[in-house]
Amino acid sequence: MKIVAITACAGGIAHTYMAAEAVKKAARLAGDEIKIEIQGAMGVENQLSQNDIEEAELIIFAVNIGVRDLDRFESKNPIVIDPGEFVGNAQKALEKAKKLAASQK
Amino acid sequence: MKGRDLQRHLLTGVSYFIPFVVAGGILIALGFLFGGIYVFNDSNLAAQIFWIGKDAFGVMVGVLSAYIAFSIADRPAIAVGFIGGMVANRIGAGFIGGLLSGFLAGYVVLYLKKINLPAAIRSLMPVLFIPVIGTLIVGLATFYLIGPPATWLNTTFANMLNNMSVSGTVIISLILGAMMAFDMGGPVNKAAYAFALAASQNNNWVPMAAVMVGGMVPPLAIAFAMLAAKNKFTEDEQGGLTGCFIGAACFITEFAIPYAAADPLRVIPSIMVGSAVGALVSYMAGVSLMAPHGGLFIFALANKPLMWIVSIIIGAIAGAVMLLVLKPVLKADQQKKKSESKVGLDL
Repeated sequence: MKIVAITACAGGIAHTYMAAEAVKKAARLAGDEIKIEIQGAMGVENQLSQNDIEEAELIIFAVNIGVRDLDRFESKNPIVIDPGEFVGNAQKALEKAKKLAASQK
Repeated sequence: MKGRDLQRHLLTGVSYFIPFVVAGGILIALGFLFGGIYVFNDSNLAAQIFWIGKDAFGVMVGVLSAYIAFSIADRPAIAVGFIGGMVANRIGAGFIGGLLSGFLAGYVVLYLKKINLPAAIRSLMPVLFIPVIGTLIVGLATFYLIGPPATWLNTTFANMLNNMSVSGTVIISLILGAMMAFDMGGPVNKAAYAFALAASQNNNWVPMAAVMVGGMVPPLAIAFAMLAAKNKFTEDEQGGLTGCFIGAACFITEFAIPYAAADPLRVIPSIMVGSAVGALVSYMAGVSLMAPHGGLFIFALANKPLMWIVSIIIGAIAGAVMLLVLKPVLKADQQKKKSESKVGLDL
């Protein structure tokens, strides 16, 4: 499955990066293709292209703050999950995101 | 409007607000450090540093308000929220006033955005109507409606903290410390931090010293426990030893998360006790710290630097001892086991 994710947290220095690492690992374990944009205290890193977003089958916002440039996702249905859930148990959180996405279709 | 959304807007505001508090707090403290306690009467370099810090503090309530509003209604809400926050600041409604003006500005602008104007004048919405009408509504409401109760809350809160009995002080410091450790950088931790920030708005920096101790203790307690008994941690966990020391020194409580995730029922109570003890020692010793972030690197800005470090170490020892008592010795094969939750510790 093609997945794109955005991670962000209030401090922008710890959870943001730990969640990104966790999402990446969980997606690889599940055999998914993953691209992650990090919106941390240093600004946006590894920005997703509009193409990445259009092609994605699943969009995950691992955030507990607002996402920057939200208008890129207008036609999409992102799944919002607290970054803490990914840091705690990334595989479980990824499963949850997939289930939520399936139930919305 | 769900509670979760409100929390997200608040945290967005806080995330933009923190650098202002850090810059302001540390520059003011440096001004005092170099220029003495009457630095504001001078016009030397130390005084300039002090006043730059003061300028940062002057806009920070505005910034908090602006970015709460931004999180709710995007770009057009920034100006309205910012000005509302500056009104709150001017009338002494402080942090609480700015928080409320930010939410108000966000929802007012969100509502204004929905009004359908004729196509000919639609472009006037973001450049004229929202800034003028939005600011007028939010400014007046902040002055007349939000201001009085928020100012009252602010002064009551300050008086309560300044005139607290010994038992009250013990309870508040224990709670603040335990909250800092409870979710290691999550909303409960941020709530305790916000409490200390609110107190600092009234020039009381004792809670700030205590919460920073509370935030630094968890990774340090785990590091101490690992040094004392390697056989109670997996090899993966031991690999994070340096990370724990760095996390503690930088006031990044999150470094404790992988350990807590792997063994929550033993780790979380232990670090909560450690942080509570550390915060208590700092609070009772009357340590005040005029810097809202920075960890070990800003120890010289505390009024009692040595006592502050001692309270961190006492807290960490308390947490480590409890953790060692609770944690069983691992068998050789258990120690090799990869913990699934290990993330982000590769430095």
